[in-house]
Amino acid sequence: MDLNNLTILKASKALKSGKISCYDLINSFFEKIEEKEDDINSFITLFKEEALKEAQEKDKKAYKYKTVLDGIPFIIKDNILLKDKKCSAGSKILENYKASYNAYVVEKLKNAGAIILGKGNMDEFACGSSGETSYFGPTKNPLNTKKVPGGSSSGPAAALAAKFVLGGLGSDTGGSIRQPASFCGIYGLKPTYGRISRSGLIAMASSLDQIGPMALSIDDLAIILNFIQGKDKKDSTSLESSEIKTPVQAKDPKKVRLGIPKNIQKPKNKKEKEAFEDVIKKLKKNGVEFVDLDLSNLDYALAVYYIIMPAEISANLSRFDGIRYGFKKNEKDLLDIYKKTRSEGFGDEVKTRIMLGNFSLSHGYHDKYYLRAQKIRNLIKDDFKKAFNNNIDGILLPTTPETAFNLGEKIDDPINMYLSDIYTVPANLAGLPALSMPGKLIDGLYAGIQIIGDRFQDEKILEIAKMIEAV
Amino acid sequence: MISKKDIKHIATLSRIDLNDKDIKVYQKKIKDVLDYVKKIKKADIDGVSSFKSVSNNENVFKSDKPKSINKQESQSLVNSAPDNEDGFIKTKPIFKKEK
Repeated sequence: MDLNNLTILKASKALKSGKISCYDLINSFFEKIEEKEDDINSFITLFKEEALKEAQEKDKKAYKYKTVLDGIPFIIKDNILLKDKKCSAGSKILENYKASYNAYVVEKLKNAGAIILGKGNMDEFACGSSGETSYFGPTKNPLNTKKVPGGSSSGPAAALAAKFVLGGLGSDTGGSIRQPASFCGIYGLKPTYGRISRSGLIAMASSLDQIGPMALSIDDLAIILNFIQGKDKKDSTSLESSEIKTPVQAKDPKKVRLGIPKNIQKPKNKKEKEAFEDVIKKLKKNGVEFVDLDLSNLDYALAVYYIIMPAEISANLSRFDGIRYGFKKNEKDLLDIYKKTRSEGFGDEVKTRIMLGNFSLSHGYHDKYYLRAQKIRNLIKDDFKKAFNNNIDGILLPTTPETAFNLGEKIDDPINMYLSDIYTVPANLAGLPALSMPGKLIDGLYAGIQIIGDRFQDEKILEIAKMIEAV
Repeated sequence: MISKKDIKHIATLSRIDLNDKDIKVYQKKIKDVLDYVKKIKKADIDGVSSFKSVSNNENVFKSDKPKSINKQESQSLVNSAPDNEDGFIKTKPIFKKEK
């Protein structure tokens, strides 16, 4: 079977009609993984034996496929818990930690019959925009292995682009689903904050973190979202939301109004800039109305993000102390256990962010940094609210200022690395849904297109994405 | 400018051990980030309240009642601790013995 053009929808039809056995389907994905994974490094752990056994069960005569995800191969980012399996969050400090329960989303996927092939590589504790901070080595971009796949959901994005799986789950705190999706030329959705329970997600910055689907088509994003969304009593910020119609219907361009923010810098390279302008031109030609948006506080978004996110990290990561989980450095004194465990267990980027967070929360700096950033966050949220009250259906932005960069290019230059998130962090700060879809091909890499929607308008941005794909 | 002393102080708050070489590296990195984020000084925040949540949720409470879980579950939680014995997590003493 040709795996290259397969989507969840197509594979599910083939399984249900008996055109292919589940064993053959899963086995051929593992063949592909074994052939190419050494070059890509998209998985931290693989569950071959178990996955093939699950597939065999589904091939028994009496078995009836229960859902469209039944028998579909998935990759789960390694910060989402899978019971009795190692869950490292890409860090040495959790190298040998085994999860004692399933994340809410994993429970949902398993109930639907999805087959998890393995856990995806990622930047350590989701701190990174290139996949390079993983303790388990960098992931490489399948479109060009000299390039980074983006991060922090580097493994799921690369595995999808390499056609190792048909679906993936990532997490997005400031762009960690959308930016790697853009770099690898796949589809990624950060749903509205609250649409999906974070129970069983190793927390990075709790007010920004959101689990979301990564896939090979817009329909597949919607299909996965329908299974994993919902209110969960273990996450008090989660809310009930309605099912999205699949297949997703493309919006009529003549009835769509899109906003373009004025107060944000343009892509730095000419090709990327032109690629984005081309999209606007094409949409205009087809009848889409464009509105210039005055989001006056958007220029502060990245700075605000790099104050609030480290502050929350410094609190969330204090639980990794050598006493409760994973790696421990034995010392005589309790304080020394904490210090040596954390110094050896965490990588440089994570340590930088923990210290930054403790700095901006410390006496004398709290008001100047953390509190001020929280106030601007409120202004950014209000700016978006006003924009959406002005009758627009979505906001259009590039996903990233440039296509995938070279491995090693930015790892020693934090500000340049952080700037890759400039178009993605605003949606997290305001809790809005946003997706990335592949745009124009530039030198073998994709310039991703991002659509941001109003709260709980996830379906609308999927419909707009379908419309963009149609034109 | 963030001093070496500042870095040592926040490293202690962060429970991270740094040698002299590390201190220099982190001093540079943290300075770079602080130089970038200082643009927030320009924002007009007069009368703006602090961000609470994206959804304007009220606090969500649950009753403060202990819930029992089965032995296997509790043991699996205890097992994630590197040092444990008889269903307890082991740690070094926090208080010093009186002499």
